[in-house]
Amino acid sequence: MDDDASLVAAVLAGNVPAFRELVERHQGLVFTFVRNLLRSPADAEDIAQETFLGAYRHLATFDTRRARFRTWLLTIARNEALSRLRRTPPPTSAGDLAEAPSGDAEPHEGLHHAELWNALDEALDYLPLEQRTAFLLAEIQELPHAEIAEIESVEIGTIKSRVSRAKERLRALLRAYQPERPGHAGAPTPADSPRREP
Amino acid sequence: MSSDDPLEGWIAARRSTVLPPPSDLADRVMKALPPLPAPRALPPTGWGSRLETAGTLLLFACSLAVAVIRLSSFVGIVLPPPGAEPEIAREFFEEQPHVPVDVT
Repeated sequence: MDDDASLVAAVLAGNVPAFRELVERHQGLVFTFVRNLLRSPADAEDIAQETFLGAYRHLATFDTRRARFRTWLLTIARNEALSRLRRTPPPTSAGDLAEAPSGDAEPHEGLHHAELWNALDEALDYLPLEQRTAFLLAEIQELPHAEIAEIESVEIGTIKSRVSRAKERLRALLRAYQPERPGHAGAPTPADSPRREP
Repeated sequence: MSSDDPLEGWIAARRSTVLPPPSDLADRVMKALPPLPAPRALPPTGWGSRLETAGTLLLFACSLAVAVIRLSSFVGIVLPPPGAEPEIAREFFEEQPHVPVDVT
Protein backbone atom coordinates (compact mmCIF):
# COMPACT_ATOMS: atom_id res chain seq x y z
CA MET A 1 0.00 0.00 0.00
CA ASP A 2 3.04 2.21 0.19
CA ASP A 3 2.84 2.21 -3.58
CA ASP A 4 -0.63 3.66 -3.32
CA ALA A 5 0.60 6.34 -0.99
CA SER A 6 3.44 7.29 -3.32
CA LEU A 7 1.06 7.38 -6.28
CA VAL A 8 -1.30 9.62 -4.33
CA ALA A 9 1.61 11.90 -3.49
CA ALA A 10 2.64 11.97 -7.15
CA VAL A 11 -0.87 12.95 -8.26
CA LEU A 12 -1.04 15.66 -5.63
CA ALA A 13 2.30 16.98 -6.84
CA GLY A 14 0.78 17.44 -10.29
CA ASN A 15 1.49 14.11 -11.95
CA VAL A 16 -2.09 13.52 -13.05
CA PRO A 17 -1.35 10.47 -15.25
CA ALA A 18 -0.29 8.63 -12.08
CA PHE A 19 -3.96 8.55 -11.16
CA ARG A 20 -4.58 6.09 -14.00
CA GLU A 21 -2.45 3.54 -12.21
CA LEU A 22 -4.53 3.96 -9.06
CA VAL A 23 -7.69 3.43 -11.12
CA GLU A 24 -6.34 0.37 -12.88
CA ARG A 25 -5.13 -1.09 -9.62
CA HIS A 26 -8.43 -0.81 -7.79
CA GLN A 27 -11.11 -0.78 -10.48
CA GLY A 28 -11.76 -4.53 -10.16
CA LEU A 29 -12.38 -4.32 -6.43
CA VAL A 30 -14.58 -1.23 -6.70
CA PHE A 31 -16.56 -2.47 -9.66
CA THR A 32 -17.22 -5.89 -8.14
CA PHE A 33 -18.47 -4.27 -4.96
CA VAL A 34 -20.84 -1.82 -6.63
CA ARG A 35 -21.95 -4.41 -9.19
CA ASN A 36 -22.93 -6.82 -6.41
CA LEU A 37 -24.56 -4.03 -4.47
CA LEU A 38 -26.53 -2.42 -7.30
CA ARG A 39 -26.87 -5.48 -9.56
CA SER A 40 -27.34 -3.23 -12.57
CA PRO A 41 -24.23 -3.22 -14.76
CA ALA A 42 -24.99 0.26 -16.10
CA ASP A 43 -25.48 1.70 -12.61
CA ALA A 44 -22.33 -0.07 -11.44
CA GLU A 45 -20.31 1.50 -14.25
CA ASP A 46 -21.63 4.94 -13.39
CA ILE A 47 -20.94 4.54 -9.71
CA ALA A 48 -17.48 3.10 -10.25
CA GLN A 49 -16.62 6.10 -12.39
CA GLU A 50 -18.11 8.50 -9.86
CA THR A 51 -16.12 6.81 -7.14
CA PHE A 52 -12.81 7.47 -8.85
CA LEU A 53 -13.76 11.01 -9.79
CA GLY A 54 -14.79 11.68 -6.20
CA ALA A 55 -11.52 10.22 -4.99
CA TYR A 56 -9.59 12.47 -7.34
CA ARG A 57 -11.49 15.57 -6.26
CA HIS A 58 -10.88 14.85 -2.58
CA LEU A 59 -7.45 13.30 -2.89
CA ALA A 60 -5.88 16.07 -0.82
CA THR A 61 -8.03 15.02 2.15
CA PHE A 62 -6.84 11.41 2.06
CA ASP A 63 -4.58 10.72 5.01
CA THR A 64 -2.29 7.75 4.49
CA ARG A 65 -1.74 7.50 8.25
CA ARG A 66 -5.42 6.98 8.94
CA ALA A 67 -6.53 4.53 6.25
CA ARG A 68 -5.45 2.38 3.37
CA PHE A 69 -6.25 3.82 -0.02
CA ARG A 70 -8.51 0.91 -0.99
CA THR A 71 -10.47 1.29 2.27
CA TRP A 72 -10.95 4.98 1.56
CA LEU A 73 -11.96 4.18 -2.02
CA LEU A 74 -14.50 1.56 -0.92
CA THR A 75 -15.95 4.06 1.54
CA ILE A 76 -16.55 6.48 -1.31
CA ALA A 77 -17.98 3.67 -3.46
CA ARG A 78 -20.30 2.62 -0.68
CA ASN A 79 -21.58 6.16 -0.14
CA GLU A 80 -22.09 6.75 -3.85
CA ALA A 81 -23.90 3.43 -4.27
CA LEU A 82 -26.14 3.96 -1.25
CA SER A 83 -27.08 7.42 -2.53
CA ARG A 84 -28.08 5.84 -5.81
CA LEU A 85 -30.04 3.08 -4.09
CA ARG A 86 -31.91 5.57 -1.91
CA ARG A 87 -33.00 7.46 -5.01
CA THR A 88 -34.44 4.35 -6.67
CA PRO A 89 -37.81 2.97 -5.58
CA PRO A 90 -37.60 -0.11 -3.36
CA PRO A 91 -38.87 -3.44 -4.62
CA THR A 92 -42.57 -3.68 -3.98
CA SER A 93 -42.71 -7.04 -2.28
CA ALA A 94 -40.67 -10.08 -1.54
CA GLY A 95 -43.70 -12.22 -2.22
CA ASP A 96 -42.78 -13.25 -5.73
CA LEU A 97 -39.30 -14.02 -4.65
CA ALA A 98 -40.37 -16.12 -1.73
CA GLU A 99 -42.89 -18.08 -3.73
CA ALA A 100 -42.06 -21.71 -3.85
CA PRO A 101 -41.73 -23.25 -7.27
CA SER A 102 -44.95 -24.60 -8.74
CA GLY A 103 -46.42 -27.86 -7.54
CA ASP A 104 -44.68 -29.96 -10.11
CA ALA A 105 -41.31 -28.57 -9.24
CA GLU A 106 -38.64 -30.95 -8.24
CA PRO A 107 -37.43 -31.15 -4.68
CA HIS A 108 -34.37 -29.21 -3.53
CA GLU A 109 -31.84 -31.64 -4.90
CA GLY A 110 -33.32 -31.25 -8.31
CA LEU A 111 -33.49 -27.48 -8.34
CA HIS A 112 -31.11 -25.89 -10.74
CA HIS A 113 -28.43 -24.00 -8.97
CA ALA A 114 -28.93 -21.13 -11.34
CA GLU A 115 -32.56 -20.81 -10.28
CA LEU A 116 -31.69 -20.90 -6.61
CA TRP A 117 -28.80 -18.52 -6.98
CA ASN A 118 -30.82 -16.08 -9.01
CA ALA A 119 -33.32 -16.04 -6.18
CA LEU A 120 -30.51 -15.34 -3.72
CA ASP A 121 -29.16 -12.60 -5.95
CA GLU A 122 -32.57 -10.97 -5.93
CA ALA A 123 -32.91 -11.55 -2.21
CA LEU A 124 -30.04 -9.17 -1.65
CA ASP A 125 -32.38 -6.36 -2.68
CA TYR A 126 -34.55 -7.09 0.33
CA LEU A 127 -31.78 -6.85 2.87
CA PRO A 128 -31.44 -3.61 4.79
CA LEU A 129 -28.72 -1.56 3.14
CA GLU A 130 -26.27 -1.74 6.01
CA GLN A 131 -26.64 -5.54 6.14
CA ARG A 132 -26.23 -5.78 2.39
CA THR A 133 -22.99 -3.83 2.27
CA ALA A 134 -21.52 -5.64 5.28
CA PHE A 135 -22.52 -9.04 3.87
CA LEU A 136 -21.09 -8.36 0.41
CA LEU A 137 -17.83 -6.99 1.71
CA ALA A 138 -17.35 -9.74 4.28
CA GLU A 139 -18.69 -12.82 2.51
CA ILE A 140 -18.28 -12.14 -1.18
CA GLN A 141 -15.24 -9.87 -1.23
CA GLU A 142 -13.74 -11.42 1.89
CA LEU A 143 -12.53 -8.20 3.44
CA PRO A 144 -11.48 -8.32 7.08
CA HIS A 145 -14.19 -7.25 9.51
CA ALA A 146 -11.92 -4.52 10.85
CA GLU A 147 -11.63 -2.95 7.42
CA ILE A 148 -15.39 -3.16 6.83
CA ALA A 149 -15.93 -1.51 10.21
CA GLU A 150 -13.74 1.33 9.01
CA ILE A 151 -15.71 1.64 5.78
CA GLU A 152 -19.03 1.62 7.60
CA SER A 153 -17.77 3.73 10.52
CA VAL A 154 -19.04 1.29 13.13
CA GLU A 155 -17.57 -1.17 15.60
CA ILE A 156 -16.36 -4.58 14.47
CA GLY A 157 -19.04 -6.24 16.59
CA THR A 158 -21.71 -4.37 14.66
CA ILE A 159 -20.33 -5.67 11.39
CA LYS A 160 -20.32 -9.26 12.68
CA SER A 161 -23.88 -8.83 13.80
CA ARG A 162 -24.97 -7.36 10.45
CA VAL A 163 -23.34 -10.16 8.49
CA SER A 164 -24.91 -12.76 10.73
CA ARG A 165 -28.36 -11.20 10.38
CA ALA A 166 -27.98 -10.95 6.63
CA LYS A 167 -27.20 -14.66 6.44
CA GLU A 168 -30.16 -15.47 8.65
CA ARG A 169 -32.44 -13.53 6.34
CA LEU A 170 -31.06 -15.20 3.26
CA ARG A 171 -31.51 -18.61 4.86
CA ALA A 172 -35.06 -17.66 5.70
CA LEU A 173 -35.60 -16.87 2.06
CA LEU A 174 -34.18 -20.21 1.07
CA ARG A 175 -36.52 -22.00 3.45
CA ALA A 176 -39.46 -20.15 1.99
CA TYR A 177 -38.29 -20.74 -1.54
CA GLN A 178 -37.58 -24.44 -1.28
CA PRO A 179 -40.31 -27.00 -0.86
CA GLU A 180 -40.15 -28.92 2.38
CA ARG A 181 -37.73 -31.76 2.21
CA PRO A 182 -38.16 -34.98 4.06
CA GLY A 183 -36.13 -34.86 7.22
CA HIS A 184 -35.80 -31.08 7.06
CA ALA A 185 -37.73 -28.80 9.28
CA GLY A 186 -38.71 -25.42 8.08
CA ALA A 187 -41.85 -25.30 6.01
CA PRO A 188 -42.19 -21.87 4.53
CA THR A 189 -43.96 -19.38 6.68
CA PRO A 190 -44.76 -15.76 6.02
CA ALA A 191 -42.34 -14.80 8.75
CA ASP A 192 -39.54 -16.44 6.84
CA SER A 193 -39.84 -14.06 3.94
CA PRO A 194 -37.29 -11.34 4.25
CA ARG A 195 -38.65 -7.87 4.18
CA ARG A 196 -36.93 -4.84 2.92
CA GLU A 197 -36.14 -2.34 5.57
CA PRO A 198 -35.51 1.28 4.88
CA MET B 1 -20.10 -27.40 3.62
CA SER B 2 -21.24 -25.83 0.40
CA SER B 3 -22.83 -29.01 -0.87
CA ASP B 4 -25.04 -29.19 2.24
CA ASP B 5 -25.71 -25.51 2.61
CA PRO B 6 -27.07 -23.83 -0.52
CA LEU B 7 -26.30 -20.41 0.91
CA GLU B 8 -22.63 -21.27 1.36
CA GLY B 9 -22.62 -22.75 -2.15
CA TRP B 10 -24.01 -19.52 -3.53
CA ILE B 11 -21.49 -17.46 -1.59
CA ALA B 12 -18.64 -19.60 -2.91
CA ALA B 13 -19.95 -19.23 -6.44
CA ARG B 14 -20.27 -15.48 -6.10
CA ARG B 15 -16.74 -15.23 -4.72
CA SER B 16 -15.35 -16.98 -7.74
CA THR B 17 -17.46 -15.08 -10.22
CA VAL B 18 -15.36 -12.48 -11.90
CA LEU B 19 -17.16 -9.25 -12.61
CA PRO B 20 -14.70 -7.46 -14.84
CA PRO B 21 -14.98 -3.71 -14.97
CA PRO B 22 -15.52 -2.14 -18.37
CA SER B 23 -12.26 -2.12 -20.29
CA ASP B 24 -12.45 1.63 -20.86
CA LEU B 25 -13.22 2.60 -17.27
CA ALA B 26 -9.77 4.05 -16.65
CA ASP B 27 -9.94 5.99 -19.93
CA ARG B 28 -13.32 7.41 -19.04
CA VAL B 29 -12.14 8.41 -15.59
CA MET B 30 -9.01 10.07 -16.93
CA LYS B 31 -10.99 11.99 -19.54
CA ALA B 32 -13.48 13.21 -16.97
CA LEU B 33 -10.91 14.38 -14.43
CA PRO B 34 -11.39 18.02 -13.53
CA PRO B 35 -8.36 20.25 -14.14
CA LEU B 36 -5.94 20.58 -11.30
CA PRO B 37 -5.75 23.96 -9.56
CA ALA B 38 -3.19 26.27 -11.15
CA PRO B 39 0.25 25.82 -9.61
CA ARG B 40 1.42 28.56 -7.29
CA ALA B 41 3.72 31.25 -8.72
CA LEU B 42 7.30 30.37 -8.07
CA PRO B 43 9.49 32.89 -6.19
CA PRO B 44 11.46 35.16 -8.57
CA THR B 45 15.12 34.37 -9.02
CA GLY B 46 16.55 36.76 -11.67
CA TRP B 47 18.57 39.99 -11.16
CA GLY B 48 15.62 42.14 -12.12
CA SER B 49 13.48 40.58 -9.46
CA ARG B 50 16.27 40.97 -6.88
CA LEU B 51 16.47 44.68 -7.63
CA GLU B 52 12.73 44.87 -7.33
CA THR B 53 12.89 43.17 -3.96
CA ALA B 54 15.68 45.51 -2.77
CA GLY B 55 13.68 48.54 -3.91
CA THR B 56 10.66 47.34 -2.06
CA LEU B 57 12.68 46.83 1.12
CA LEU B 58 14.25 50.31 0.79
CA LEU B 59 10.86 51.91 0.30
CA PHE B 60 9.58 50.06 3.32
CA ALA B 61 12.53 51.20 5.47
CA CYS B 62 12.07 54.85 4.41
CA SER B 63 8.36 54.71 5.14
CA LEU B 64 9.10 53.23 8.53
CA ALA B 65 11.62 55.98 9.36
CA VAL B 66 9.18 58.73 8.34
CA ALA B 67 6.45 57.13 10.39
CA VAL B 68 8.72 56.99 13.48
CA ILE B 69 9.71 60.66 13.16
CA ARG B 70 6.11 61.80 12.75
CA LEU B 71 4.98 59.72 15.67
CA SER B 72 7.76 61.19 17.86
CA SER B 73 6.68 64.75 16.98
CA PHE B 74 3.11 63.90 17.74
CA VAL B 75 3.82 62.73 21.28
CA GLY B 76 6.15 65.69 22.00
CA ILE B 77 9.43 63.98 22.13
CA VAL B 78 11.99 66.39 20.74
CA LEU B 79 15.58 65.44 20.82
CA PRO B 80 17.80 68.44 21.70
CA PRO B 81 20.83 69.03 19.56
CA PRO B 82 24.06 67.91 21.16
CA GLY B 83 25.24 70.38 23.92
CA ALA B 84 21.94 72.32 24.12
CA GLU B 85 20.31 72.99 27.43
CA PRO B 86 17.23 70.91 28.05
CA GLU B 87 14.57 73.67 28.03
CA ILE B 88 11.72 71.62 29.29
CA ALA B 89 13.60 70.60 32.41
CA ARG B 90 14.70 74.17 33.18
CA GLU B 91 11.17 75.59 32.80
CA PHE B 92 9.87 72.95 35.11
CA PHE B 93 12.37 73.68 37.89
CA GLU B 94 11.94 77.48 37.55
CA GLU B 95 8.26 77.05 38.41
CA GLN B 96 9.19 75.18 41.56
CA PRO B 97 10.92 77.80 43.82
CA HIS B 98 11.51 75.38 46.70
CA VAL B 99 13.50 73.20 44.47
CA PRO B 100 17.03 74.39 43.83
CA VAL B 101 17.54 74.92 40.14
CA ASP B 102 20.30 72.70 39.21
CA VAL B 103 19.82 71.05 35.94
CA THR B 104 23.39 70.43 35.12
